[in-house]
Amino acid sequence: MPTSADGSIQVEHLWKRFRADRGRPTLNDQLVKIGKRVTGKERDFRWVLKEINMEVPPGGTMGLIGINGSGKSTLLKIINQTMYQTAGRCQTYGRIGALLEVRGGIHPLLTGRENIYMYGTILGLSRKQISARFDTIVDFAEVGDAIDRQVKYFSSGMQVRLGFSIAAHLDVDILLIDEVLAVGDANFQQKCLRRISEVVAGGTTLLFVSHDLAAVEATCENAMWLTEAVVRAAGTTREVLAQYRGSIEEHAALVSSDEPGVRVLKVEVEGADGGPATSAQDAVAHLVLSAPKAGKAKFVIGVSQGTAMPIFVLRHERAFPAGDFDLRCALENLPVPQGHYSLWLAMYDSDDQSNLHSWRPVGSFDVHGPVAVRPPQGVMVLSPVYVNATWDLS
Amino acid sequence: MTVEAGLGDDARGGDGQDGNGQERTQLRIFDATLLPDSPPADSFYRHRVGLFYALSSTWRNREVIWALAERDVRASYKQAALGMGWALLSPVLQIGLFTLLFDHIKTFHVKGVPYAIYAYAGLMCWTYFAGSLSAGGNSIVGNIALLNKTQFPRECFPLAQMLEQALYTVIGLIPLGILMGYLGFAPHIQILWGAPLCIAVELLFGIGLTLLFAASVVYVRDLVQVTSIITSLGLFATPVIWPLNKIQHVTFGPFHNVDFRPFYAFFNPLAPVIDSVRNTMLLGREPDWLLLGIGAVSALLYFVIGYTVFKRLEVGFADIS
Repeated sequence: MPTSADGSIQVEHLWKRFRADRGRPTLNDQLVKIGKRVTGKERDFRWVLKEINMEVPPGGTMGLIGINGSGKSTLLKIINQTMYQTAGRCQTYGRIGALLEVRGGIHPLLTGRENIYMYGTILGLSRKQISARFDTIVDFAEVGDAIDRQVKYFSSGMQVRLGFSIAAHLDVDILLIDEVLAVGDANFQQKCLRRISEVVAGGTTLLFVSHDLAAVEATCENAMWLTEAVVRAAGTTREVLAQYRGSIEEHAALVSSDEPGVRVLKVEVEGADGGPATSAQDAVAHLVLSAPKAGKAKFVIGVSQGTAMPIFVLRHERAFPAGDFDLRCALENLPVPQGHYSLWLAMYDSDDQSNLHSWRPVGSFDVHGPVAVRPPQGVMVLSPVYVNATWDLS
Repeated sequence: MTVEAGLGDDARGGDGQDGNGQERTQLRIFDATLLPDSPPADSFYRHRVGLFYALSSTWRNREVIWALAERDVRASYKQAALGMGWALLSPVLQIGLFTLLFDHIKTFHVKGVPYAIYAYAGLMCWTYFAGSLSAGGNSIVGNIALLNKTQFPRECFPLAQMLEQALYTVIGLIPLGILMGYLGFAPHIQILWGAPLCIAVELLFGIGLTLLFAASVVYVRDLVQVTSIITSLGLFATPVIWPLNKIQHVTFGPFHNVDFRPFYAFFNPLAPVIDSVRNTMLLGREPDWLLLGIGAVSALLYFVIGYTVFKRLEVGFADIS
């Protein structure tokens, strides 16, 4: 057993179960339940974590990924000691700070100032420490003069920023982050990521739960992928993410393959040099399609962030063969910042304009590179973008 | 790349190497189908927190208790137009009503003490307890959002509510002082050593029962109704408006001239507390040591049982709520 310095996390053979049924707690139900428990027949629970082993050394960074309901947040709560495991061991060494749905700790009736003092104390700071970093917290939250206003008159963004800012300025040995970056504008998200890197650079251990794979890749050395209560893969972030993405694409391919017409077999977006797609570098969108019969079609490819409208759209008309064929579209100077994007595809028959493939996302990819800059006021982020492209079909 | 079952020493073998951190993080893929249905029976987590450990970690988090209480006080002060005034108004109205109703019942009277003051002294002790029980009893279910994010001991929530109630009780002393000045009644010096004793017994009892309810309400929400029954009936079952010696000579059914006070003091330690406050502050006497002693032992029992049950039940707070 290694000796543990401050900031390490050790999780060994950890299991967690919840009661499956949370119906009305009537007296009758309770009696039946007690009867079952006495006779040892209690079965109405389900395991939400099974046999989790994890070790994060002091100053290490670990990302937890997986689809919703895979048990990531439960694991985080157990490590945060707000929830207890059913079996196994969970040891942490050092002070823990958690950034989880940060708005909950903020009291709407109190002013921003009062909230900083109250919530800061609740999170374990002394008044003196809070006074010392008060201005930093206010600056970071970008609330300005509103600090002496009651929080209920804050915009929801300001409330979130205030909560995050308090929680982000604790002195902790272990920092737990659960999907807090999903809130706030892109600019604040980047600021949070920077703050997290700062904290990590200071030697704090990080456990990061997120669906933003690019953010996980940017901050975490190691990663663990959870599916349905069990660890699917663990290792370096790059390797685990590759596994994870592979599984998602498999899944997407399965979904799109049961429609008639042209089927999408594979979607891949990578850098022109074969590495990951990077902002302002050339990239290649590579699709493997399967058509029931040969013909000529208009191909439309789009790139969107989330489910929003595509940021840019490319068109190309060309003949295609029957059976499987490769469609390559070389994109010059990929004009999107770091993030997670979806690739859309549509195909229209050149002769009768009929739909060969309806307009929908067919796959997703991550772009590396510089963070988004905040546009000046009045500038649309999703402005039409012209992208030079070269098409190739084989 | 290796494929491993979740269980077994191999699964951790790669991680445990004390290499230089470069080699040990090779990708490990796990096969969930090799996992057993449940963990080995000897690995189940047993939540055991010793009472003294719990008390010391609560003491270390006293600033948190203070902040939780301050947060609540500030918030409720902002919302109510009368603010702190309510802490004054409520006991004054109750005493006014009690005096109006019971002042003429001569058996409730104690020689040399105006009834309003006599009742007020009892009401202060009672209100603190009842306020703690109802506010503290709901404090865990009412603070789920915070409970899920913070690590300090869970008893801080009910204890913060009790701190808040203590503030209101102290504010409630102001009308008592005014009343004494108005009626020309001076409290006796014995209260200076009587009060700490009484407060200690009341706190032990109050904390015990509040923690017991705060934890149980999470599992059985119906208990909220029980607390409201206790607080409304207890006002009359506890010697607030009547003197404790009313049950000194009870003749009822098979009982003939039985002194019920020791039994009652054990069941309800507030009874000897109120009696002792009155004896010391209003009558200048010593408390009834036997009764206060019984009350103290009982309060300690309530405290230990309540605290222990709370620490046992806290394991499921985050799961259930």
